[in-house]
Amino acid sequence: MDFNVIIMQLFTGLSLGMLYVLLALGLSIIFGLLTVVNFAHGSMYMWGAFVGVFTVAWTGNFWAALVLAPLGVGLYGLVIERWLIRPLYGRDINYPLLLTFGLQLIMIEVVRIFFGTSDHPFSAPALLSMPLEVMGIFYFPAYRVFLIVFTAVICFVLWFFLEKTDLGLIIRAGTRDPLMVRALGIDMNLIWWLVFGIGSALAGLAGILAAPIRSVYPEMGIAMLVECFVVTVVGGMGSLPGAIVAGILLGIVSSLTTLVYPQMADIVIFLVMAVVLLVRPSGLFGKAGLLE
Amino acid sequence: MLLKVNNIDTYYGLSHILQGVSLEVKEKEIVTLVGRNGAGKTTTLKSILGLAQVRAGSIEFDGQDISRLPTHQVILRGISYVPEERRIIPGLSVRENIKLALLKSHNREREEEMIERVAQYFPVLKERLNQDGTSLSGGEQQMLAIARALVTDPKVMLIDEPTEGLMPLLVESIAEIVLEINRSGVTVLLVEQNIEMALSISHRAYVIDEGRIQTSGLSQDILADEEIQRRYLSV
Ligand SMILES: Nc1ncnc2c1ncn2[C@@H]1O[C@H](COP(=O)(O)OP(=O)(O)OP(=O)(O)O)[C@@H](O)[C@H]1O
Ligand SMILES: [Mg+2]
Repeated sequence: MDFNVIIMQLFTGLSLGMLYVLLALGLSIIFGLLTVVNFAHGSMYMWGAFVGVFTVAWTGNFWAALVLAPLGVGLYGLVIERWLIRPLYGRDINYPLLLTFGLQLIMIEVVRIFFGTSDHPFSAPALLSMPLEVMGIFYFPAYRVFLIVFTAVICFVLWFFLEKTDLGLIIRAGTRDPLMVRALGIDMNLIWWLVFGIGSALAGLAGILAAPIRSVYPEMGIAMLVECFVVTVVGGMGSLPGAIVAGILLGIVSSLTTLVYPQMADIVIFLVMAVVLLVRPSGLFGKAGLLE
Repeated sequence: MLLKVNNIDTYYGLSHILQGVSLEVKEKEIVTLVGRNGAGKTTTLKSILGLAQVRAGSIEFDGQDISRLPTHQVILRGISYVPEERRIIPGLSVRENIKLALLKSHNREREEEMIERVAQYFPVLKERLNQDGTSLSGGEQQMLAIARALVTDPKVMLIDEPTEGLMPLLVESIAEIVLEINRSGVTVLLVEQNIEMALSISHRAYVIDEGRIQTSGLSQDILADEEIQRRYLSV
């Protein structure tokens, strides 16, 4: 097989992996701190893409969409946490799970009702639509290069936020011992609220970033959600480095499988999950803290 | 009266744990709460802090009812907590554990100054600032738990079994530290299994058993009363 093709496919896998990373980071930070398994995450991703589609339709500006999608979905997350999820804290963890599961169905239905069930075409901004030439042999689509670099920057910002800021310190501490954090004078309700907002914003961001390279339709988040659950399980529930490593790994594995044996492409990540769980039942990065 | 617990009933779910507990702590006092395993000592502290569900009675601090306040607001009014088993937060350095306690306090901007103050009590902590808090020895973790409660300049410190699992030499130095903290003007409500130590450093004591205050008085009197020791405190 052509070496060139393999490199290209690795690159495609890496960009898919970056979408996994963004989504899994959101899922993991929410799960790590709130112990809420957010089943609405996939439809938040879808809403992010739709916000993007409509922002571009109205303003013609991709960059405006790149800001509005995470912002809009993040605000939506804040509303959901404050009025729907918060009343369920202190009860069985299945309650928020059922709630967000129902929410996902409603969110999909709302989009179907207003915008129909068809695909919404969305193209990368002109600036990013030419291929980038590397060493005169490889031609990488500029948009995917942008996606990879941009996600890497987001990961760094998130790391910096968690490691170096006061709020980050509270979040790390709250992931390990929320009761003690409250006993140090900190309002954990506020922190849970903000973190749910941040996690939702990351889903919205993944949605708009995915829009130019994947189809935008109401059910686009369903399979994606399942794949991202696989990513968080492989990486270790609640671990952010786990989300990053597993996201990239599974993106690449799935895209290389497409090359050699396309029939397996959809299930190969489940095989990886099974193998990882056999060797390390709590995932690659176990379950300790967000940053471990 | 700085802290006044008035006839409270506390529940964990359906279990009725505290049944009409009352106690008072005056400014500058060390008051100790003693009793057997499972008597309700920790639950009393948690009730004051809003960490356990108080269904009846009231808790006054500085003349105001705090029994309906969420935990973080109780803390911000000037109560600090040294919990059972220390609860040093894993994954955080010694410095970060102290910083976390400072975030909502009026000493927030004075981190270095507060670390110096901590170092006066516990020089060893200053040498370990960048070490993971949970990698410290049991005694050092206890020091960190006390330091964390000290840096906010609390009016009252609630201290739960600070000498649990420590060697006799350390027990003595923790007792000394509690006395010193009290002399610097901090009121202390102390829970202890080590009855001799607790009664010898405190002014007054309450004896709790089966969720009720059984008796109270001057610590030295309770220490001398063999009947009380036999009925409520012997294992
Ligand atoms: N979270 C909880 N849920 C249900 N019951 C509890 C809980 N915590 C404590 N209890 C029960 O409440 C009673 C009082 O417990 P508490 O922890 O206040 O005792 P204690 O006096 O502090 O004992 P120890 O000396 O062992 O620390 C015990 O019977 C205990 O089993
Ligand atoms: Mg106890």
